[in-house]
Amino acid sequence: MAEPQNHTVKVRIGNELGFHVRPVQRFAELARLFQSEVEVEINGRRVPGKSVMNLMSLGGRHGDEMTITACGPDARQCASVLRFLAEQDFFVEDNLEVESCTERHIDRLAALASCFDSDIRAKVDSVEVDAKQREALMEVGLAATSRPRFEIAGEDAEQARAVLENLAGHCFYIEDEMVGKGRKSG
Amino acid sequence: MEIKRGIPVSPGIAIGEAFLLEAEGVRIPRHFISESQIESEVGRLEQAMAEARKELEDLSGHVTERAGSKIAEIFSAHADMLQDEYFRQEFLERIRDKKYTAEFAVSRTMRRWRKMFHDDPFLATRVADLDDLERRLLRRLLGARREELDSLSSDVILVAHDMSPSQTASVDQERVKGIAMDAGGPTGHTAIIASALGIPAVVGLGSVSDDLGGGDQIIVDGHRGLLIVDPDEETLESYRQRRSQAIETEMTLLEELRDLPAETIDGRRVEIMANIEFPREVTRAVEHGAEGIGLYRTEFLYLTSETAPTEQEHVEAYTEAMRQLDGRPIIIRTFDLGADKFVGESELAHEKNPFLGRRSIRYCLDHPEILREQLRAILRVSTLGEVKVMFPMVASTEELMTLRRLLNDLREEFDRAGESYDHEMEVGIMIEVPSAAVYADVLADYVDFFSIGTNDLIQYTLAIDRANEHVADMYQPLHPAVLRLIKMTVDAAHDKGIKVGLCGEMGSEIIYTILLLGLGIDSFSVAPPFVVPEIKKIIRTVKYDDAREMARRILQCTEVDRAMEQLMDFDRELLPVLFP
Repeated sequence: MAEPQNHTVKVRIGNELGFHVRPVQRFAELARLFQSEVEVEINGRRVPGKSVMNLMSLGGRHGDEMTITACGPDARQCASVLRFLAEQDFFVEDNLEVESCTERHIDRLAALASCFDSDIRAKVDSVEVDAKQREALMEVGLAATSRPRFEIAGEDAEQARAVLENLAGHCFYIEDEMVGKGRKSG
Repeated sequence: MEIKRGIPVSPGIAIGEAFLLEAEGVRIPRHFISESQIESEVGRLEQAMAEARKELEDLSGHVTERAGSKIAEIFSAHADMLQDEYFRQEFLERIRDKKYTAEFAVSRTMRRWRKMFHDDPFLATRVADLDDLERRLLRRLLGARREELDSLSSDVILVAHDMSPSQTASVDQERVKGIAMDAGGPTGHTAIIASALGIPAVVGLGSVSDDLGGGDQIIVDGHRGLLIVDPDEETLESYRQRRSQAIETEMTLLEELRDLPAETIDGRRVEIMANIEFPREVTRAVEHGAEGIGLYRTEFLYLTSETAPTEQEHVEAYTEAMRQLDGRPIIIRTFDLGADKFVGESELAHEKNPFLGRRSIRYCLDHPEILREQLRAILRVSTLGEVKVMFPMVASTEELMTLRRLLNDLREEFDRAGESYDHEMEVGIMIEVPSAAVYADVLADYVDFFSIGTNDLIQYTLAIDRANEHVADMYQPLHPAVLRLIKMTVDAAHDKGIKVGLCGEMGSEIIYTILLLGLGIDSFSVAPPFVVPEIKKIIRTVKYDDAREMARRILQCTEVDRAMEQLMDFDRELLPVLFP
């Protein structure tokens, strides 16, 4: 694993309801998968990024800029994952069209896999593809309800596995209503 | 030490421990532990947190099946909050470093977070989540040791966001020494009951219930409308002194005046009666020299249970009041619910404009069975002493005729059944709607007495809701229009040879005593009881002729401020002791 480093990214909060309960939960949940210390700053207040209570207390609103700082051996990967989450409105999709589901979970998988250096293969049924390749995932017809198995090799394999398993475990955070009774893991 | 300003609604000073009603009426009995108990206390907390989390996760699972994942996420968010390492550390630090009990640590930690959330309007809605978590944890921690509001074991000062009428009604006056509330105004039920029970109270404090922790030492200053949190020794001492001084002044006045009539130097005799909500208040009123009960608000019979009271329940309450009155008169006002007061089976709650809606006597005329039960009870107790019945909110002769007929039908029923009742029982109405005041000369033909309800009369005349902060300062008892309506009512009553009382709050504010006396009011019905000796003192010091002259001058004032000044000057010169 790389030397400790600092990575800072800035994202504007895009979802209507702001950085409220569910976004905060998801943010902290993903942040906790990394070794790095995470801090989030909104409107001049900076709090620990793995604490739902602290994050909630920021009261981030739609349009506020949030600065995410990760510090530690996996800081780069951590910051990219959290940035992606924030850019995607924290996967809170109150008005998502059903049709767009198929693509969206594949986008998420590919984008999050790409945050890591490790080689990541996703196995769906007996077919195995590069999880960073959106088109490849499309071709095997990965469904939001399917639970692909991951073959991961590389320095940041551990974090990559944690993040991708979390994603798949939550049905890619596609709202449960749209994928029937979702499998919710812890 | 922190001082918060609210609205004083019941005078007096209370010093004591805060009992937060918010956390489900739970009180934390113990706050500190010794060094050796730290680890077991930490263990208790960890266990409570684990259990609460399990409970929340189960709940989240159940709810997902039944109501979909979005609602379930609320519970999973709560479970998440409990897993928050920072949160947990804060609990633990308070136990380890400050030697708090687990309960107190939870309460204090939640208080800090709540405060933080409260400051941000965006987060204010999250406060409910914190409340919920706190309750869940405290329930686990306290288990069977929970202490409920109606079974307190020591003296407390009640602190609440708001209180339902039934909560207020169940207040244990032996244990509750003061009340501090976030919400509320001077005419709310808490204000009425607190002052009736003689419990110092301050309302409209904003957010005290969030900022305070159970067990905090606080002072309620019901004179100046202050709540003092964690007072320093100096403040504490000065309040202790003031508390005993106030009691002394009250006692001296009492001793001196209890058994003397309210009669002016030149021989004008008026009655001083008391307003009550509960029969148990009678004794205190009589001890303070009240000559009877001028307004028995019977609504609380309706508010304390889900269903309307039976005839027998009415009879029991009235009998109890009359037993304590020992022959003194009582005016029982019939059902006056609606608008601002909550009622169980809430047909009343859905009106767009409840104060102009089907409240009070209007509701009764639509539901005569409610009124019939009550009137039968009143007739039954009428032989036990001097009972009068009073109908609220009457505004027309048609209503009065209907009410009269209803009462006559019941009398006939009694006659047929051979039951006895007072054939001479007086029937009166409240004058609280402007139309009734204007029409008083005609209404006077149909009744034995009037009683002016100034609270509603002022609000309806001036079209001002006193609980609305934006217009509250326009609620002016001295508005010339209000005074003219009072004058019209008095003159109409006296022309027809009937008596006119006044039972609104204006009558209990001693600054108006001279004016009301001068306007010709025959009977003051007041609350809380301690103003009885004060009003007697004022009346026994003044000349009726001077009071009448004063009233004449005030009636000519076109400016409220000017009228107030004149009154104040007169009062101060008359009795500097009472008007500092």
